[in-house]
Amino acid sequence: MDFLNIVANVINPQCILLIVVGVVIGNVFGCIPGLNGPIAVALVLPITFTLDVIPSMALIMGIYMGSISGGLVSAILLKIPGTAASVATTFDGYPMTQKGRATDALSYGAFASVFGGLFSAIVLLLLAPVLSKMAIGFGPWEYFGTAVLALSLVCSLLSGKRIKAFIAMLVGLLVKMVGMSPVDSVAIRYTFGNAMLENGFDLVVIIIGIFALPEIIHNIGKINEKVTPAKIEKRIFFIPKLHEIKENFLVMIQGSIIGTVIGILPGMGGGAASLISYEQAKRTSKHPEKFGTGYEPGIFSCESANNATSGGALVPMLALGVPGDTVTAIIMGAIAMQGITAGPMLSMGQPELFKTIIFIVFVANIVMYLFQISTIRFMAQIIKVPKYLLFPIIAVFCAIGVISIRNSMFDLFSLFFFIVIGYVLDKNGYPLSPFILASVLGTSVETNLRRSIMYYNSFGGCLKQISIGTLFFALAVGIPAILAVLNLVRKKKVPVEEGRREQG
Amino acid sequence: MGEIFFLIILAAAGVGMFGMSFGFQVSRIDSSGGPALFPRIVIIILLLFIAIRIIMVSKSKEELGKKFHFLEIFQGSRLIFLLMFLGYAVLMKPLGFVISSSLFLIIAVTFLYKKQYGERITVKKGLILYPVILISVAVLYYIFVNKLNVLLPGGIINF
Repeated sequence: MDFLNIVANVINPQCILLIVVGVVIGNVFGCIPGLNGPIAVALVLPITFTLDVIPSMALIMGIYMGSISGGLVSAILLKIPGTAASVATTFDGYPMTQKGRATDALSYGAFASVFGGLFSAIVLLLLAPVLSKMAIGFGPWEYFGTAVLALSLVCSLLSGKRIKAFIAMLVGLLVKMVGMSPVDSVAIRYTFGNAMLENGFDLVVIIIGIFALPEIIHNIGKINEKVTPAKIEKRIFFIPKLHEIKENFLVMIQGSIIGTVIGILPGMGGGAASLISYEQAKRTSKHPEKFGTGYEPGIFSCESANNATSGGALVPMLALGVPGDTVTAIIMGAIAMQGITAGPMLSMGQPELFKTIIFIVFVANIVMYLFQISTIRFMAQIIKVPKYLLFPIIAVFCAIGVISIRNSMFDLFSLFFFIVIGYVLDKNGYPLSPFILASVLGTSVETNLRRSIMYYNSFGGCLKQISIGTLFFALAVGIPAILAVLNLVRKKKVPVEEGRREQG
Repeated sequence: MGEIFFLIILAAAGVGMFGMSFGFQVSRIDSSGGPALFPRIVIIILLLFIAIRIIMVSKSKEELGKKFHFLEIFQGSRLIFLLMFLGYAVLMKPLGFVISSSLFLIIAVTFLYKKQYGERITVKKGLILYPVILISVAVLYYIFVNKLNVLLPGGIINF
């Protein structure tokens, strides 16, 4: 009966329609270079205010799944990855297009995407409840440890940009401190006497300001760049042949595992997953020399991996209340706006809703695949949508998104502050995902730290506790410290080895 | 060098915020470290990372020579679009969503069309495009306000 209820929650005209609409929006945003999933999810947030929890999740999950796989269209046809997750798809996808096999490449990509998506959804179904049960005994110190570890990992795993990531994350925390202080609700911080700031900056304003508008404004500078996608065959459905699926089955399994694991780790995302999966497929292949020349396993490996990150990223969000990537951070905000807290209490207190969300992920993946195999030919035309129309329309939707929160013009003006921050950070190599994650988790980190201090009398008292919170806090401090030491040792070794080589 | 200036400004803002934290009102019964505790911890760690980054940049010729992207947002077509959006935001309340959005879209589309294709929008195209924009904005307003219950400024036109 429980399962039938869950099915009935999702398989109804409203939810199916919203999933389809979400998949279409996600695909369009995914396949147009410069737009992406977080922008699409941020833009529909105001619409979700008016919907119940399940329909709003249907819309958002549709967008999430659609946006990840939508990136493959422009990656394969133009060598321009629509999203960071599709970078590796260009390596073999575009050479296939040059060989006149664009149709095959698109059908491989679509199939691998749904394979990875469904694989990670199964992992989500199995793993999230187990993690939730583990987390049910969490107190403020454990929540503090978990959130701090997520923030630390999101920065530490961004190899080559660690310091910049930490700076971006800390700026995000500072932005979140504006307004009434949590716990005591006495101090009004950094408002400069502006009453509008007493409630702090709204998450939607931050997300739209940081993600959507800077990208639009940046792209306006290169609006006259022309794109001409390759022609693709006229087919009703774009499905790979059975022997092609069989030959690439193991590659897809490998990619899906890599994608799911990377998705669970905060901050890594589809971009890293597809690149790692691609390299792994190349390393284990009998024909590594064929990679990069339009070789099928190249597409199967990266597309299965990048879609598998979606389910992976939802695991910590649903189980622990810690988002695994930027979109899940925004989704967590959307769930919070519905009055529901993502985390262990969701699966324990509302198991039907919890399972319904997971079922939506399954359905969204299937809808995404059906949509892709039947419309790839038309999706290729979307790349040609004139930018002179697209950019102003998105700007208007951004304005609607911001005003709709509390009908405040101040929010609209504060958008300019975030446009500048987002532009400066992003265009100078400061990753935005730690900033967004800090904006989502900032209040929770502070609240739980202060509650822990109250509970254990001092911060030292917290550290003396033998608990998972202390372990997570130690890892949060230890991992970046170890990585920094290793980096220093590596840097010292390089000149010594270079000197030896010169002497030799 | 641009990045170092940016980091110094960020550090100065951090120091300013640290100073401001001494003025926060504290509850007498609060035993959680007070509202200034977390901002101070964050600012101290931020200053530490800024110092590390400044050292890294100043030691690397490649990093020092890198262009810092900031001013281009206030140049050329990007600045014009930003000003259009600012004007849109300013006019939103007095004129309402329908008129301000229509004005913004018509002006921005006309401007960006010229930027994209290097020529002005033709009269024929304009005669189709502009009415479509006006009708679309009105429909959008109607759907958001009346069907989705989203609050949007009515201004002069309210339906």
